[in-house]
Amino acid sequence: MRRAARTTAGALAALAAMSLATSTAGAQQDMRTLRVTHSVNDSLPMHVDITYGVGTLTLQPATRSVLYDVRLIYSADRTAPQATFNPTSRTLQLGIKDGSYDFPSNSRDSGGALQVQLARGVPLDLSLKIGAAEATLQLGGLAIRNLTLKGGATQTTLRFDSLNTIPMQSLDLKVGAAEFQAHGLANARATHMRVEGAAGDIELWFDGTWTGDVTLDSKILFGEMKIHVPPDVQVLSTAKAVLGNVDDNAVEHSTPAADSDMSDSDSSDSNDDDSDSSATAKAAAVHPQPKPQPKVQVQPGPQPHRYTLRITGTAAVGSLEILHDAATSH
Amino acid sequence: MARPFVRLAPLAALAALLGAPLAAAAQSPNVDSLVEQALTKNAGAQDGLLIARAMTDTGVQRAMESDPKARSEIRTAVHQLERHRDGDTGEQARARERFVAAIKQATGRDISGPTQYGMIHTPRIDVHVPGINIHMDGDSVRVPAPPAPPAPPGVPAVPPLPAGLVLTDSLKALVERARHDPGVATLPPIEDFTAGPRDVTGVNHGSVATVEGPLTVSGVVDGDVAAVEGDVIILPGAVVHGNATAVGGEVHQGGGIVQGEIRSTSGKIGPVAHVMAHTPRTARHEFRLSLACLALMLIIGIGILTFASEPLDAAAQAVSDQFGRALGYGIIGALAVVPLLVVLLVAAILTLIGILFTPVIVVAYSLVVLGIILVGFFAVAETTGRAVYRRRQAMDPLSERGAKLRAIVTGIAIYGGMWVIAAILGGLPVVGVVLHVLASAITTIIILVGCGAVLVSRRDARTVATIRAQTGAPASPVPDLLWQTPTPVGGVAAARRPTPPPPTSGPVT
Repeated sequence: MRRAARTTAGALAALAAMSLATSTAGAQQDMRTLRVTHSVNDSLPMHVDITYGVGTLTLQPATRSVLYDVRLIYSADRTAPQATFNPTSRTLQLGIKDGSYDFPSNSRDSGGALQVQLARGVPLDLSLKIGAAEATLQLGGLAIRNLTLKGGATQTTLRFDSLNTIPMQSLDLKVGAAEFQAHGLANARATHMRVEGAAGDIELWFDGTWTGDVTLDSKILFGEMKIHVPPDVQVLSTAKAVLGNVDDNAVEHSTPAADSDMSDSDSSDSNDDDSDSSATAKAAAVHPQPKPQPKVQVQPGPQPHRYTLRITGTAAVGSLEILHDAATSH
Repeated sequence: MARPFVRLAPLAALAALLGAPLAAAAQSPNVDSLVEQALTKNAGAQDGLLIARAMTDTGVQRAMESDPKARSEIRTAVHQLERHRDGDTGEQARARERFVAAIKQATGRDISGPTQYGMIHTPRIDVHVPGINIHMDGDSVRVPAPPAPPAPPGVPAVPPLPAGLVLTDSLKALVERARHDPGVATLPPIEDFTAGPRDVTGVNHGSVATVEGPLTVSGVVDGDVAAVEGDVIILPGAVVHGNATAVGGEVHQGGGIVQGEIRSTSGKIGPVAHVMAHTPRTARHEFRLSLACLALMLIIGIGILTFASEPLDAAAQAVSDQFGRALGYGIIGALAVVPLLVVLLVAAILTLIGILFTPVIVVAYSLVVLGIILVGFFAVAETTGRAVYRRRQAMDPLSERGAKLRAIVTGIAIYGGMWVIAAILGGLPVVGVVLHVLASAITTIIILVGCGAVLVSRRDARTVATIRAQTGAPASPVPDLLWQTPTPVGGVAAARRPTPPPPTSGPVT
């Protein structure tokens, strides 16, 4: 027994020493900076694929006349940068190459950053895959045709501070165990949005300038999704709850079991003025507004709903909450 | 009076040479941050005084502020002085020469004289340093402000350095390193490179590149322009139809046009082990990973031996005695693991109350499966270890527990070592693939057999318990026909055939 114990202890010590030796060998970081820009030669559409693992990601419209301006700070010990533009296919690939990320030996030295500026006026098909990065994406003012975002355990803020200059054909957001916030979604000018979340906290703010009706297909699993809508936008929700709950703070639930199924054909399928006023009246009944002060009482009756947000989808073992507290600016 | 003055004069000159430039450096707000860094880095170095004196010259500073080309060249020269500070003396001399040339190009002054290198042995009293004139007046030393530099347009053109256009082997190697830098897309072929600063005027067909020097473009270039360890300066009126790349430098687009991509990198140049390929560093990473897994398995194995020795023994017995049956159970179990979870979840949902427990069911089920896999793996490892020491078993001095520990450690070392070897030789083209496939196959079989052995042992234990309950007598834990079945791992079980204890007829007197 003593011999076996000695053998085991020796083996463990040797293994620990070898592991320590191999891990400390590459402890010194090799941080590098890559800067890539390209002038604007035309306004043809461009595909932009951004893949980024750990670090800080910022994306915004370009402040000068360039097609793209990229600044990537990376650790050459653990990552392989990617910044290639194919002028034939008009595809720009940025970030860290797939599968090249090696987890750091300690969390403090991630240190990487990716700053991207994209041209205004060039139609963009933007695809983002974000791992565990902290991302701030300010896309207002760009001309985004299609937007796809896949996020892992990320903390992401998506903003449309100003109008997307062209109508967006599709907006797909898939978020993992993440903290995700989207602001100014009305400025995105997308008629159809799809948002999927799993084990994350998602907040969607539909503030900004509404230019048309929007359909939001939302799926939340093991998480929470809050949808903030301006008070003057009609919300028609057919979202279903599966082992979860869907809560619309403005529309009264049609049946006692509405927590699990809010597909109310009367309210969701009709879009006439009657249903609008009915919905508003119900909202007032459920959540009585504070007594209006004389100086702010501008409109005597309920505001007409110029635009409609249709919400479909499911909340499975999660919650979907609709709040009518977003700012409006038509 | 004259003799003491002559004795003091060299000391005064030395004080002026050392003190004045450094004091000026501390006060001057125009000194470039990079130069400040250079001053700090080279404070004690051979060329520290040279750098300090030159860079604190207001003429040099003004030239750097007004002329990007001069600024770039001086920065590159300072970089080189830093780089070769502790290196080859020939390279040092070359870097020093280049620095002097850069200063001369910027200000028109030649600082290459012996006094300007801080040669304090000079017996001369009247020291004249470009930019700093020292006049001895009685016992005092005055350092007047340096004269204003000549206007930039009047700066005389300086011919290229003597070693200029020739690429040495070290410079070629530097270009090749830059070519494999992960941040670099493409670089012109080596034939297009020259050494040192390079001015591009007129119309140039093809690419133009330089190493260790700024590349100043004022004409038209059909192809790409590139600089390694230097800046690319695109002057107004210049047109580059291709890309502009500066590796270890910057691209200054001062009014010129670059139709392609502008790319610059900073930091170290060249590939890094991890990035350069998916072979050496990946193998090393895999090696570390396999070692870590091996260590983890050893720790878990000892833990299971300590805290779950009973199921481990039963499973090990099943591996040894019923290898084929264990493998069959393992395959069936692997196929049934997902459907069984689905059935459990559906059943839970159907009961309505169980809906609340679905997450718990998923977690608990995963833990049970993981436990079965671990116990099964260590059971196979123990059996393998025992097989290794089978011949010594008769004269083994170890206790039963010690023998178990040794067997588990040996088994883990064998199966874990298999992955370590695969990781070490993983970079080899064919052998690596074969070893990985082999290790994966063996590990899969081990896990299947181990899981099956756990299931078999549990089933046998239940059978025994049922027989006990029905007959009221203790039953053999091993089926009668299986106790001596040869197995591929354990061999023939060297155990006495289990026999029921003789019935007690009464108290022994």
